[in-house]
Amino acid sequence: MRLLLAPLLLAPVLAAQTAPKLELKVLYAGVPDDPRTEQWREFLAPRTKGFTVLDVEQLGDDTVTDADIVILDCPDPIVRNAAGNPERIKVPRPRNLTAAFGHPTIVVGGMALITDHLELKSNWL
Amino acid sequence: MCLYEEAHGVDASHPIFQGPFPVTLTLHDMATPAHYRRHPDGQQLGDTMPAWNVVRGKAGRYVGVVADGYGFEDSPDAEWIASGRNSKNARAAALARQGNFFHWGFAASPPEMTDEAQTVFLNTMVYMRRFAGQRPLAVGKGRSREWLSVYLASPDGLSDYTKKEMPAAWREAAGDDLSKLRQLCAAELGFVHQVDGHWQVDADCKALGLDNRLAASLRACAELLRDDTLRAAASRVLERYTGQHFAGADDWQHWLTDAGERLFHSDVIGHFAVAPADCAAPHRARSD
Repeated sequence: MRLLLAPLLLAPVLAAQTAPKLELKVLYAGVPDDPRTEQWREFLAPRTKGFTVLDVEQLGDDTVTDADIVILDCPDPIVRNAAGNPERIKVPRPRNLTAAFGHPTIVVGGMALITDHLELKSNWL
Repeated sequence: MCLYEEAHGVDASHPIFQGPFPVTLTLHDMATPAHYRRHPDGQQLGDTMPAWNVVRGKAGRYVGVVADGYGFEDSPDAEWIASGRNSKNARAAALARQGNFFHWGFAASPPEMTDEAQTVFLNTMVYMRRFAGQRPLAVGKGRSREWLSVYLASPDGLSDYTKKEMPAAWREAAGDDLSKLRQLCAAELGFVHQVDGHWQVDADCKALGLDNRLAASLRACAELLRDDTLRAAASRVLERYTGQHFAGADDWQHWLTDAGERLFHSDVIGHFAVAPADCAAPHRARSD
């Protein structure tokens, strides 16, 4: 088995300063200007070999990346009216993503609407 | 949007909880949501369920998403790992994998996650790396037939929607008699299939007494091809559920032998398929 951790520290809390670095490159496909993107960067950049951001609407089967893991994420997709009540759902759509996309992908929260459209089992119930 | 702070029904034996980073899940008792009891697998639940906090404190406005848990593991590309407190049912999937896609239904950003959830997320990235190049196998619009049992278990009785979902043969035999419909469902769930988006009882499977979800049923049909009286029905079943056409019993036997353990049925696609040889064996929750 390939060694993924260097060095392995058995600390229960993986503080960024002491966390072992994963031998993984991450492509974070989200909304670049949203504060979530920076929060993911702060979490993953110190813990991985590489952290790259892509506008999720630019993601497609033909996206060229050397990333080991793709994270699909978006801000709260519920659009609310002035009173704060939900009005509609707006999830950013990757321009050309199909079920043939071959990269290991973690789909976070509301981006399940995308896998729902791809008719995967990980749908939006 | 319907998934809140806690996971439950967690399969702690799954690799994402095993490493590479060690994690001990801190469980607490969560009051069982009352609406879980409206579903068959929720009726046996106790007053509380062991739950694991994924979100630090209360979930914000942006809550998460659960996937349909019924039938989730009917294909070898899929793993149901955990549910979470949600507005649907106790089986809905909060953490799950299909092929190279991992469903992390919780919407919390990293600072909103508990330390344990952050660790499990890192483990999940490591786990998923092995699925590079693998694709979901069961892709389609089909829903699990388990939903028929769910509709019939509703404490609200027989709704118009439920009536429309039932196979025509059940409605003809039982009318609006809920008790009879439940009996038919228990006896014949293995015989149903989707025709033009509607559940129907497959008369051939029923006549042969063969559950159309089981590879063993196809192998039985291959044997029945040697029986003059049953050959026609067996041949129809084989072709209907595999999309294959062979001249005789020997050819079917060869094809089934070659498919071996890779043969699977999924209600999502409505028939059998053969998983690629490089499809990683799925993790299944230990029953002990």
